[in-house]
Amino acid sequence: MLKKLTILLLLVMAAAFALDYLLYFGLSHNLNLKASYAGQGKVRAEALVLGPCEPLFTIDPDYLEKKLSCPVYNLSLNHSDFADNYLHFYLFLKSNPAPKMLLLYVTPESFDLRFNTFHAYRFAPFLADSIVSATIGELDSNYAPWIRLPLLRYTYFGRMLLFPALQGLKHWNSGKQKPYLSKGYEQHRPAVSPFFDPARKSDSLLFDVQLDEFGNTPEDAADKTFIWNATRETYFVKIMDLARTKGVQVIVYESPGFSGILRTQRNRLAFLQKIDSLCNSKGSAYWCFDHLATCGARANFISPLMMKSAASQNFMDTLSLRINKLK
Amino acid sequence: MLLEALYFVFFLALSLLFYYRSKYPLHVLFFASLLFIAYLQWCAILLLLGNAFFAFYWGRLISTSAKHKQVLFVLGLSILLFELVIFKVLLLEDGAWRGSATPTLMLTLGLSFYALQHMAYLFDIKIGRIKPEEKAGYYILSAAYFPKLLCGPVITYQNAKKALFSAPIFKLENLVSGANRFAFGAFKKLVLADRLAPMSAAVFEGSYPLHGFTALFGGLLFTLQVYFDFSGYIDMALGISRMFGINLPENFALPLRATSITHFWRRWHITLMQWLSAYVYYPFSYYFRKSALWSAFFGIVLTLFFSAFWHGIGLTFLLWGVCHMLYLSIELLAQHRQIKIPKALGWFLTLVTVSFANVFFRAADLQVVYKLTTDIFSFNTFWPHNWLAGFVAVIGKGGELNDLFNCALAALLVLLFLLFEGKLNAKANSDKFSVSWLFSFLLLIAVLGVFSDGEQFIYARF
Repeated sequence: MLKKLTILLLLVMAAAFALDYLLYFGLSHNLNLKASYAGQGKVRAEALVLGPCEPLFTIDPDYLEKKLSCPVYNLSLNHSDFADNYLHFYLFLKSNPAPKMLLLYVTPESFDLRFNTFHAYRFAPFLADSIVSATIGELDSNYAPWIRLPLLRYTYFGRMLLFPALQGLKHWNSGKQKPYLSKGYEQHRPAVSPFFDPARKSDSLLFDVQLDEFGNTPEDAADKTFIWNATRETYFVKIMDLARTKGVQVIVYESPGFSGILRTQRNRLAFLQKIDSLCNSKGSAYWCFDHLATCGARANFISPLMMKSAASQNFMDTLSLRINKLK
Repeated sequence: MLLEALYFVFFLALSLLFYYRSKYPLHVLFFASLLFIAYLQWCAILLLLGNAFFAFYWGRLISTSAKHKQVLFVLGLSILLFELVIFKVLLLEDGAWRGSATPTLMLTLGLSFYALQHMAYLFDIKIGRIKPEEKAGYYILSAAYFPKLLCGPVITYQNAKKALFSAPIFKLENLVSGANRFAFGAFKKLVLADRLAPMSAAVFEGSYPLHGFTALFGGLLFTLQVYFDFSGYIDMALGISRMFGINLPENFALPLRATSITHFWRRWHITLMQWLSAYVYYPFSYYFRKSALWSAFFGIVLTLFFSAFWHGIGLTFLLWGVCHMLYLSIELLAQHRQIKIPKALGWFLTLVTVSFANVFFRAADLQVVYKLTTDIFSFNTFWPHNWLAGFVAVIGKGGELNDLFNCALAALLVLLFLLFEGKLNAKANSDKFSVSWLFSFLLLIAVLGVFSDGEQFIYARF
């Protein structure tokens, strides 16, 4: 009995360590995970775009490169908050040459906990890094006790990480060099995606960013009184400080939002002023584009803060003009 | 959750050690049970003790009264029922499906289960089936015994007495057998039930219109989820009990293989059905004993009405009960007219009808019921035109490759489990130390378990 129990324990431990390494290896080699791709040190960008889904879906590096005459990479991630952005930026700088400028997307929503969040699972292959583990310890107290346990530190988020780990093993095995989104930009699908069901239009609201999401999300943005969150502010400041130590110029901006919604946000102005003074204290300016004609036309938007492709290009023209003037 | 699991393993190991070493093993079990409840919610101890003391003394009162047995019984039963109603109403206001442990839910931990024991105790004393217990401690322990506290199985006092109060004899086989059963239950809960939970939630909590098939499939997903969740708990409770050398009754017997609704109810939540048969069905059908058909019919109506009420006060549970009343009444009529259907068809119809009824059971309110039944009965849009968009992407909560992978993995795990369930059950009850069995289950749980957003046990909400 004791012999069997010992064998069982040894087998479980051996399997746990072996699988732990396999999952780590797979996740580190998955080029579609931006942190892992950045960790491979293959990105050469002079302008880095950072933020949540709005810049992810609207800032096309290929288009912006032509305007700025320098390589651009989009490091934005869906539904990410400042802590998420900070760790991605930190991991990027750890393995790649520092960019000359950082385009950081910031809106009043960015400082309100009800919008976007910190996704600890995105950093699972980097738990050995003390800054990553400390940030997880601070922001995800449920996950924090698990990060020292072999295997469980990955399978805790099994639903999010098992498939990417397998995909990473495939990438390694096939010698893949470029991620699916080669410059990090996720293009609006120009045509109806395979997930669109023409017979039931409402289905599409969930799955296709090309289609109109207003019907889904008006309450998310309209009639809001924003609540300032100190942790968000801390991580915003950390991004600014990290950039400054690496000599990266930070351009903090808000892309155009639909004015029909923006004007219903009760303390928007106060928040903009607070963000502006925060940026000034860190030696940056806050560029707000809510005065552009784009903001007035409902047809330019997919959701209150996200522009359609044509409007995005117009915005990138304006943004690049202003950046070039700064140069 | 990790810390809680570690605390529990530590608590269990200590309880077992003291249980087998102590001269007073029942005292150990008693204090372990109180400690367990106190850890979850100390206030729940007061409610549990209050109820147990009430039933204990009221039972003695009924037994000693010569003239007013019936009145005292009705009064005692009414008090217990009234209390159950009050807390069910409060739980309804809390929103049973919100998933968070509300103060009322924490206060009433196990109330639905131990209330049944107290009602049966009073009834059995009233009809002279048993004598009232002499020692209050024994009676309280039978209600508070921690492995069965949250989700059962439902046991009567005489069964609890037989199971709990024999002298403990340490057997290594009991520990091994208990561990085998516990690992099996943990696998069902952490790997299967919690993996299905977000998929069924996508159907029941979404506000967008669905194809009829998708909505009905949501019912099937919930049926599977609740089965793995509840039977997983029972496996763990039986496993822990076996470690103490205590045998609790089985609660499930492959219900998803039932070929009729009658068959299904003989295999699903068996201990509740036995309780309902003994204390609701037979006593009431006795009054209509002149006609076998009518006595069975009224028995079914009352039993399922009580079952619906026991699960929760609310029209959704009532509708669920009405569905099963209709199914059983139709089966009764078919049986009466000697109509028979092939077993395969019977199995399919049982699964579909049970899943349909579970749409009412799972729905948070009547609005959801209305929406989903409208979806199901919109026959022109019953089948998705695009299966990826109208079905896979809905239950997978998105259309990314990762979502499809999770759906495929869940489908594979559930199908394999159901295919080999009989053999797995037999192995889970084995008292042989199998390295391969424990290794496989520990590894499956570690790799495929859902830890980040696992749900509390569904039946702990009732």
